[in-house]
Amino acid sequence: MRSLLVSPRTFLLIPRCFLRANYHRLILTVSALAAGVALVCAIDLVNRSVIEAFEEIVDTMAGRAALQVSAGNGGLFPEETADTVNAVPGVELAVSAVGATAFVADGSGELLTVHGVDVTNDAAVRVYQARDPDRAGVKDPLAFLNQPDSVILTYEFAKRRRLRIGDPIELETPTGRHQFTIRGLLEPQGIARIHGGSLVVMDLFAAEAAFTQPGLINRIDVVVRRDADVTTVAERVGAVLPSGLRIAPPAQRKADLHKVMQSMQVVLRAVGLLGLAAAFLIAFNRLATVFDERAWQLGIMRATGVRAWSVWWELLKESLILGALGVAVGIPLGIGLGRLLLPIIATTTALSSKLTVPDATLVVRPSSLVVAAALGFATAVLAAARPAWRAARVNIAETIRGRGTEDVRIGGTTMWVVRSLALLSAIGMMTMQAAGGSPAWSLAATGAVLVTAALAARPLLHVVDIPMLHSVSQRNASGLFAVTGLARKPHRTALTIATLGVGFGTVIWIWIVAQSFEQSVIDASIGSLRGDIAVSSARVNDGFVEAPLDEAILSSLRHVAGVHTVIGEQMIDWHYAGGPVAISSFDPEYLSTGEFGRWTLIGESLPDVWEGFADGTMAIISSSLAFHLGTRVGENLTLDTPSGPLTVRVGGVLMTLISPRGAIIMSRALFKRYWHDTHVVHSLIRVDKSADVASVRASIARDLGTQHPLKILSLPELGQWFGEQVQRAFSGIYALAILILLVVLFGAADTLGAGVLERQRELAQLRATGVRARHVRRMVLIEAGLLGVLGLALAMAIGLTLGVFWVRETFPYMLGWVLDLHIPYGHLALISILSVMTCIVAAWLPAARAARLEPATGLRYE
Amino acid sequence: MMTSTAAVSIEHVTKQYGTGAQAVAALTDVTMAIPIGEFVSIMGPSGSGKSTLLNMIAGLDTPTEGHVRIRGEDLAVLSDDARSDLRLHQIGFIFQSFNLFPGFTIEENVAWPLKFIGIGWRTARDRAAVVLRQVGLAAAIRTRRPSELSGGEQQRVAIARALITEPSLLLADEPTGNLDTRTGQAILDLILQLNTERKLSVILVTHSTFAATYGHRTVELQDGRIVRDVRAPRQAGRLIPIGA
Ligand SMILES: Nc1ncnc2c1ncn2[C@@H]1O[C@H](COP(=O)(O)OP(=O)(O)OP(=O)(O)O)[C@@H](O)[C@H]1O
Ligand SMILES: [Mg+2]
Repeated sequence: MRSLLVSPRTFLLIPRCFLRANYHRLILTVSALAAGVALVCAIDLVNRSVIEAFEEIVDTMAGRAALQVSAGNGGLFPEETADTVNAVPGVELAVSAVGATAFVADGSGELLTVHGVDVTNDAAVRVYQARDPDRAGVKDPLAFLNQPDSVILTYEFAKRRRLRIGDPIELETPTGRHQFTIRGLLEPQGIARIHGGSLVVMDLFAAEAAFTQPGLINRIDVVVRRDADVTTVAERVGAVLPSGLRIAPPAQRKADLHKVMQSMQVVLRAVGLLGLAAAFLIAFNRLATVFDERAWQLGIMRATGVRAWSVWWELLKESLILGALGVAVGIPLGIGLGRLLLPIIATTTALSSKLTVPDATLVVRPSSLVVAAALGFATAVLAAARPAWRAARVNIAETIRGRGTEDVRIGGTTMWVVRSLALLSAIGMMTMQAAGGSPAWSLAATGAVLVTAALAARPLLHVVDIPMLHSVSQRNASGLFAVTGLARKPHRTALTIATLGVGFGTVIWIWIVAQSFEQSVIDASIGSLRGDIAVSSARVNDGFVEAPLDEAILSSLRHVAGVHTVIGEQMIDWHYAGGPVAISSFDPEYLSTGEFGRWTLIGESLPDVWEGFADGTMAIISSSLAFHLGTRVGENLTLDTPSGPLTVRVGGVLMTLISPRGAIIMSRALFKRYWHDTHVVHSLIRVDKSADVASVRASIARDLGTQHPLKILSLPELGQWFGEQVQRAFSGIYALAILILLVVLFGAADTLGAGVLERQRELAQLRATGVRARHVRRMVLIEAGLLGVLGLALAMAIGLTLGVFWVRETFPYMLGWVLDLHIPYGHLALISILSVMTCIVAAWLPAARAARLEPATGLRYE
Repeated sequence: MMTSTAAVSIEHVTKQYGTGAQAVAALTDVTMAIPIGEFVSIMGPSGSGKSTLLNMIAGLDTPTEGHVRIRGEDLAVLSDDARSDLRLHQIGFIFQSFNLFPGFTIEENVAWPLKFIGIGWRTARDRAAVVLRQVGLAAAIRTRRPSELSGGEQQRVAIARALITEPSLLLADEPTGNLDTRTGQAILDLILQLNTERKLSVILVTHSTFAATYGHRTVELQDGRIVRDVRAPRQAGRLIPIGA
């Protein structure tokens, strides 16, 4: 193409001349594009930064250790296992370690990661130091060891809290508050850097006393000899380990991490792409308006001898300019947005994948920017392509003569074929997903549903058109003008409806999913927890799970006045059938006595399920486990435990959301025997018949609150608390939904405003023929209201279809959760009112202007 | 009929709008040939098919029946692109209403067609300046917008645009309709000058019998048919209407 060889000035000459008069009217289109680009850019940057931050944790936690032995997430095993591992050929060093969390007991409850290693063993300490081991400043190693209350903190933490070596610090541990003494400070490097200063190192012995039990550890870090092959060593170690213990290289852990985070990232990507899709529709719609408006000028170009193809190309160049502007604004905006979203998404990911929140920094990666920029340009160009083609193919004679009106047919056979194809592919993809396909089908199906809905706007308009004409137009003249105004440009009216529909539909969809998730968690948690009062640590470890407390709390609680029965629950992450599961355990009396009521099991269950549960021969599984692994009632399942294999029978199925892939619920007596774990996360209490729940709560707080920071909630309150945690987990998604809502509101305002501006001349003519300003205003408002209502109808259809589809079909596969559908009617009503209001306000401003305009001004030659 | 030498040759052209009962015949069996260098005036009452005829000649619309040839080439067999190229290189069109681009400056409004011929923008602007001078517009208005010009000035800009590609055939649809007698005459003089100096073939649609006297020949249309086709001695420049 010849024009490509000339200077950019000449290359963009014609589009610049055309756009010059329109820039102010395209500001919102550019904003929509910029917002779309920003969203995609921000999500990509954040996704990568979050993954990287978590990977760095994995890497640095392991230090020089290439392999790590653990029993699930937090399972305990004897210290001596390290000796077994040390004896394996190829192992340079196996270090026993305790990893845990503690909280600063000064009311702030700041979380500290506890790292317990044998501090006397220089070789062991050196595994975790990045460089220069001498700087790990323990001034007096002997004093450190002689006093079991010794801890090492980071310089950063000490500086922040104005602490010095020798100062005391009080920490909350599962066994209550304990005073420690600072005996050393760490430079911010290696493992200390990762936790952003929130690290406390103590001697293995002290860590066992405070967090596990004497002689029991939860991790062995393995350093492999330089000349040995890591995989071979891992296999050898695996062979000598007791069942229940696993050895994994960091790469494996990273792969697991990716798996855990994948679903979250897929959801985020989908949201970003939908934002871009909304921007696409807005740009498509707006450019169609601008090009249409210019049809007669394009007709002149064609009449002067410019080829249709060249006209199209000149128009497309305009979209390049718009795309460039959108990208120029969107990229910096995206980086800023990324910085804002990063902590939210990092926290969300940490919550949903039960990891420590990393101190992530946003790494601005050129590749992310290039991808976002390319998508932005592609969106602008694709949005322009069809409107430009339509405009370039004008019937020259007609446009010059009449400054053209539009073809009012719903579209030829081709369009009906396209519509049917879109519908069929949407149904097909949804079926594929329902039949067990990958999340990719779900994303594709979502896209297809949106396309189908957008294509349905035109027939929808046609169907509604006739009754609408009758009901509205008969009332008053403004109504008649409004309806004919809409019906005269059906293509564009349909586009506006589609834009509103897709935009608001996306918001409704996200809202339904988030609400269903939240409600399901509340219902499910109440479903498995019974009693009058639930007591747990006020601190939250990773994910949704409260920090564990030592089971001694149970007997303390039994001594509180008014308490009748106390039951403990412990919950840990474990592995079963090649993937992660949760193990939840309740004291056997919980279900056997009937005092706490019984769970409602789903489907059939074994007749002696409660007895079996109490005596440790049976377990209950979650509906998600049944869903994912196809495990049935009556089957046996065998778990690897730190004490060897454990076989239990499946007695029943319960709806619970403890873990995405599934949960196995068993008696705590059995669990303690096999896992050596004496912690509890929840204590459930039945009060005496005569006692008052509120006063018992007060007594518990008074009697035990000094020892532990406790969360003492009634059961409904606990459910609510769970809901809040989920809401926190979803806050990133809500933030994005609100962003999309804003983009769509802008887009709606833009489209409607543009429609009114474009008709300024016509409105002026109405005024000139004697129509009152009030009537002109009313006409425009009726029009906007009708568009809003139709768009909303489409949005409801889209939002409900996608909402139901994602909750019923996609989520079980993508995130593993089997959810109940909850439709947030209140929020839907709010979104509806907001959308219609926006449409009306967006039309009101230009309408008021048009009505105020002196008719003569409006009629002047443009 | 010597199609090879005619600038335009129209053979039995009929144009019908709509079908069935609603059909409107804008042109019915029109046949005429315009030799190279001829200046033809077309007259006729409103709605008689004058604009339709010009559109057919420019290839903007296709006849329902019959053929239009430009320098012997049948428009019907040409592709859309080929017809475009023909218009760009051979035909200058002055439209019934001004049809300038509101967003463009006067200079840009005149020069843009050259960009599609592949002429550099600097050269195009120089050529625009020359043509604007020819149509009697001061250099100072070059950077103004159409809305800042009077109707007569706008019309002259439109003529400058039609002439900048140095076409061999000029189609003018009432170029002087909105102008006062003096300005109208100046424009007609310019067209006449180009017709004599450059052998530019001209088809001028007009309601004014005075303007029609600029042509070698006057064709009158009525209800889409040619009702009169007369050669008259040129009386251009003298304010004596032909029929007076
Ligand atoms: N697109 C169309 N559809 C239907 N009828 C049309 C169309 N275009 C033109 N006509 C009709 O064709 C006839 C000729 O129109 P045309 O524009 O050629 O007249 P004209 O001689 O140029 O008139 P004027 O002097 O008013 O410009 C008119 O009756 C007009 O109504
Ligand atoms: Mg006409």
